[in-house]
Parts: sequence; C-alpha cells; structure tokens
Amino acid sequence: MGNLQQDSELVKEYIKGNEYALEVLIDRHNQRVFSFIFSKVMDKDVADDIFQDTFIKVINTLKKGKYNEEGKFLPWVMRIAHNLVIDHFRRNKRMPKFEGSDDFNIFSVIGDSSLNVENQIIKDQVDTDVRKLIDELPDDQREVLIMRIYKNMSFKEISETTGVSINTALGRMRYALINLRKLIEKNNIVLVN
Amino acid sequence: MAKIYSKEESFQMECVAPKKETISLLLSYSKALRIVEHKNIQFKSVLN
Repeated sequence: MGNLQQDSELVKEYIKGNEYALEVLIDRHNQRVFSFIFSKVMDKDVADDIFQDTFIKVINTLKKGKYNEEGKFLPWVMRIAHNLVIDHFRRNKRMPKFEGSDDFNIFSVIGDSSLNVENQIIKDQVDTDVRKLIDELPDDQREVLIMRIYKNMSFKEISETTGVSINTALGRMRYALINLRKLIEKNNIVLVN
Repeated sequence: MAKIYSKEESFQMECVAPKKETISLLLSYSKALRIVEHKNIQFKSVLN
C-alpha cells in the first residue's frame, strides 16, 4: 500500500474497514493540514486541538458513509480544518482568552490599572521612600540603577555612557539591588501598595 | 569575551507537524468507533 495508492483508493479501503488506510492518509497529509492550521492560529497546542477535531470529523464522516467527494480528499480535509479555524476565532472573539507566559502576566491585562485615591497616596509614598533609599547607595551603583530603572536604558547603553564594561554595569546593578534590600530590612520599611 | 544580551528569536516556524500522541489518539479513536444503523438511524459507539 502506501504512496502508490491514490487518496481515493485509500478512502475506499478505509470505508471498507481497513484501518491502515487511514494511517497512510494521515501520514501523507498531516504536515500540510497542520501547517495550514498553525499558520492561522499561531499556537501549537491550539493547532493540535484543531488538527485532532478535523480528523475526528473526517473519521466520523467516512465511517458514517457520508463522504461523497471522491478524488478530492485533501481539499475536503482542508475545508473542514478551515471551518474549524473560523469556529475557533469566533469562539475566542466571544470569549477572549489570555494565557500567561514568562513574558506576559494575565493580571496586567485584567487588573484595574487605575488607582483609587488611597492607593495613589500609598504609591506616591512608596515611590518617595524608594528614591530616598536609592540616594543612600554608592554613586556608581546609584548611577547604573537610575539609568536602568528610571531611564530604561539597556546595559549596553549604560556601559557606553558610563565608560565601564557591560559586566561591570551588571555587577553594579546587582549590588545596588542587594544593598537596597539590606537598607529596606535595616530600616524595617514595608514597600507595598 | 563578548556576550549577547538580546533574546533569541523564540518564534520559529519549525513546528509543522502534530504531536505523535494526537495521531495515535486519532488512530485509536478510528479503531474504537463503530457506526450501527438501525431503521435509518445511525448509532455511534466508541468501544474502549
């Protein structure tokens, strides 16, 4: 069997009860169908789910004897996949789904970013306390920390501006944070809002 | 020694195939699925 047989022949074989024919069909077309789905949803797990649903429909239709598109197996499968991709986007439009990852936190999306008056006062107080603590740091550490945190500069930019190596800048940042923690512990400061 | 601090491009188009488990599940589902017709009504059963 295998590659020599046409899809239509394999479909007939499968309908007759030859399970191996389905294995050949899936093996032959899985990459193309999966790539199509993945190119639309851009998520491997979702693509896997839709791929699975696609072939569940294919299997159900074939076993029920309702398949009548002889010779056009792959376009038929692709059409099912396409419809399921559309269903997926419709469903997600109604119910947007946000997933967490290393770089992305769900709470940054659903959280209420606007602060009430009390929280705003607390935040201002915390900001002021942090600035006071930063002023206690040695000059070289304070300089790197302000550039990194407040000016959002990269370590490459910091190293170029300060004339030290990137590793030195990283080291100063590390010590700045260690010393800040020590200052916070020493002064029993609670920095929360 | 130079170090690269930028993140590597994490997104790659290399994943073009479904998981082996997915294909295995489909083949098992197919083997387990039975369609029985009785008086123009189709009954679907999945035998484990």
